[in-house]
Amino acid sequence: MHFCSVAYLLFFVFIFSAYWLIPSNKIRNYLLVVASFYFYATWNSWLAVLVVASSSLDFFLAIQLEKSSKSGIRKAYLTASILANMGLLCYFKYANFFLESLKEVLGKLGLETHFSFLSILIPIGISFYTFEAISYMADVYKSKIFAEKSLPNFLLFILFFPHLVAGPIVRSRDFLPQIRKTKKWNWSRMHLGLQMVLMGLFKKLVIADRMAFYADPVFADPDGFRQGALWIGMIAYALQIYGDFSGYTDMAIGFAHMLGFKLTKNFNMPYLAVNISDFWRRWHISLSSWLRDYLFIPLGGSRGGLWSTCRNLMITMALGGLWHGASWNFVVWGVIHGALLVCHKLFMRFSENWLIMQNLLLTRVGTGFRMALTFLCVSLVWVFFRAQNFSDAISFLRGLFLPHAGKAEPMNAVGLVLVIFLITVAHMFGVKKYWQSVYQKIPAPVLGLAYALFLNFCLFMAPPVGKPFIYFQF
Amino acid sequence: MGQPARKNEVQVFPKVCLFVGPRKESLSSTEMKRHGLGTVVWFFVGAFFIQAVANGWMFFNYSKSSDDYYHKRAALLRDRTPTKSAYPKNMVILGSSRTELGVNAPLVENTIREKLTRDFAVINFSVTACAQETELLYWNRLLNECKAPDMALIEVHPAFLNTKAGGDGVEFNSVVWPVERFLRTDINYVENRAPDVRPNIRAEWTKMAFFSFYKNRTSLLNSAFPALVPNEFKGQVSILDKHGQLIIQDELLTSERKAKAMDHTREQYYHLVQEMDLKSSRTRALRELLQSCRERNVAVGMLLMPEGQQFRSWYGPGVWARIENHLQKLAGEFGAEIFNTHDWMDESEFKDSHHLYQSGALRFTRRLTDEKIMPWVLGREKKLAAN
Repeated sequence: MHFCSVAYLLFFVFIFSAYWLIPSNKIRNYLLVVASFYFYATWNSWLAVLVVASSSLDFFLAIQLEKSSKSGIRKAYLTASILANMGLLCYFKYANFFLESLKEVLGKLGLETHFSFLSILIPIGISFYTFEAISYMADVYKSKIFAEKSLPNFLLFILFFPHLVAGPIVRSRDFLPQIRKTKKWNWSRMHLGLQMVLMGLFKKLVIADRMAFYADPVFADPDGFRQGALWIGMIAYALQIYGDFSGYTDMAIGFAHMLGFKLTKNFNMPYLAVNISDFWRRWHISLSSWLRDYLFIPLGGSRGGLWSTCRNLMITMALGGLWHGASWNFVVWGVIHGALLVCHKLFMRFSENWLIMQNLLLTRVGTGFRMALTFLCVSLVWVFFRAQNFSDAISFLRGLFLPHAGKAEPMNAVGLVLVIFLITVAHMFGVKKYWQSVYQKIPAPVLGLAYALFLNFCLFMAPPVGKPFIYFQF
Repeated sequence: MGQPARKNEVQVFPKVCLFVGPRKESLSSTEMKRHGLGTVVWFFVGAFFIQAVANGWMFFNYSKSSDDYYHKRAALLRDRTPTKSAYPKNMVILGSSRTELGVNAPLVENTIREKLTRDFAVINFSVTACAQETELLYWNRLLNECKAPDMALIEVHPAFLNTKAGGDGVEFNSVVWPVERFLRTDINYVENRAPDVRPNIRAEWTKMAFFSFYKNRTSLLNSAFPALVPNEFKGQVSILDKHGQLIIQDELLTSERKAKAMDHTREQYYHLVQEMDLKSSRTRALRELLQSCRERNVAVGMLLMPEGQQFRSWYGPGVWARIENHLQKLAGEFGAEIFNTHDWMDESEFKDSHHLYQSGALRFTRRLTDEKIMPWVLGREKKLAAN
């Protein structure tokens, strides 16, 4: 059951109606816990039980941690929780990857191995909710928050269905107070929720799913397509993954708004980033801030010298890459992003004394150049993220720069140009914050009918076969 | 002081419905809520209205289904059939992918035109995964939408005549025939022919009709902005010429790929031609089709397409003779011709022992036209002239 399905629509309408008809906040929360469990169980009921069990363990460990005043015991509870969460993550997501890698290494050393790989189903969204649980435990350990005393409330924090499978990664200090607060029906909030859901639908159906038709065939057979088709495929994938993931997040935020919850912002026009550091402040914000707070800073952050900062950046980004999936491609993707961040840091140091260059880069042309360069770098690195394996990624990149014969692009490029145009217009609105200031002035009937037209446009443009959300696999 | 405020409160309803919004920088909290309420309400009203109008229009006016491949060819038949010519004026070719790739309609048409020295239209209606039941459905559609053609070249796929090839209406499975591919007028036919395969076809179609604008979006988009439709979903409609013929350039298969293709063909057909039970629903459909043609005085040629040596070697003892016998009986009963080209082509002309390469298709069509079709057309012309 995903956000763009009729099953989800019916599910949400039922839960939404029941939720607002129930007067008690406590019972509303119970309803949301049950609904979230059901939502997850539609994929796999045993894995839903597993998520509840691991969350319950974190709940009890946090209470014990808070009760204890001895540093050693507190550390032991924290370690136990982290080990349990990371253990689950490693077992379900990385066990086969490690075994496969070990087998390959031993094979290269000439040692014969007879590993049998585990036949396991990866629980959807495991990377998201384990990170939420770990951040909760770390915050309780650092006494930044009090441990939650109500199990249903804690379960709702982890399981809340709009963010359960693909984020945004919510922080307990933001979300738990919202759970405790009694929500009141608010039409302007419903309006906001509707806006977000429509925007998410547009990004998913009109941008991401359509871009997939340019990207998928090219990434499936990079050697078979000519240079131009590869460039189109690469740009299309950059737009696809943005539309897909930020579309999901927008819908998640919208649905949460309709239930009276505010989820954290996850994207802020990332392709307008002027450098790679800026990109990571705009892309998957909830993950990058999590990595910053719970990995980069504990590793030492920027507190040491240049060398240790660069080392911490590389470690953080490599692990961030691995977080995305159990494949060396993701690790390489993370490492290259780490290297780009390091290069940017070094460049900033280097250009400190070059005022002329700095001024040049700050002009409109310079800003445009920086944006284009960042987009190009990010798009090139996406190749590792998307390619089926490392050798495919290399041949894709080789094909991008070396002219060769092959098939033409899989679809007329007009669609891509149209999508780029739509995204550019939307970003111009976004940069100027034009929409926020103007929509209140539009008469409600006009605005409502425009939304209705927009919804029908999205449905009309939806491709014949829907694609699953990319981040569901993480 | 209190009166204007009360007046405002009384006007909440009109404000909600026809809220024009104050011309000021930002709204108060109450105004925001009213604006939100109005917008959400109008959104639902608008969405419902747009859907109702679009689907209503589709239901009453949009006679097409998503079967663009058929509709384009039907339009070609209507447009290209000469109006001021002597009879016969046109010919339709019905068949499977074998005929779709193997019979070149432009070549047939040009040859006939040259020999008759007048206009004549040949439209190829062949389509992948088609056998006699689909041929009959297409024939019924043509009778509903166009005038009955003068001549019909109907491929008989021997393997599909076998009962083992599937029960009643197996061709109309939901993979090959998603519900939006059917026309309203097809429903009775499918209900009768495929009671087990599509038991709820009427309910399915009615449900689809409520969302037909959405269900047929790809087809609509393809008509309006074909550039926005992914190639794989355009269907082959975009590469049809004015004879309904696919414009393709096929590549010569490597021996490895050919071996794979052969394996696939063997897997699909070997068991169907080992033994033959000719009591299938397709045999009945063929009979109905011939009956319908005879009632409308349409000349029919039953075409047995060529197969490679390897394919032919799979036939069980006596199977081919039984098929020929059966068709001879039908031909006698309904006054149809049989064009048996079963062993006309060499194995090297095929991709997979039953689908011809384009080069093979041209050679085959040339011979088919010269040896079978032309005498048949001339005979028909004579007969009509005598009448």
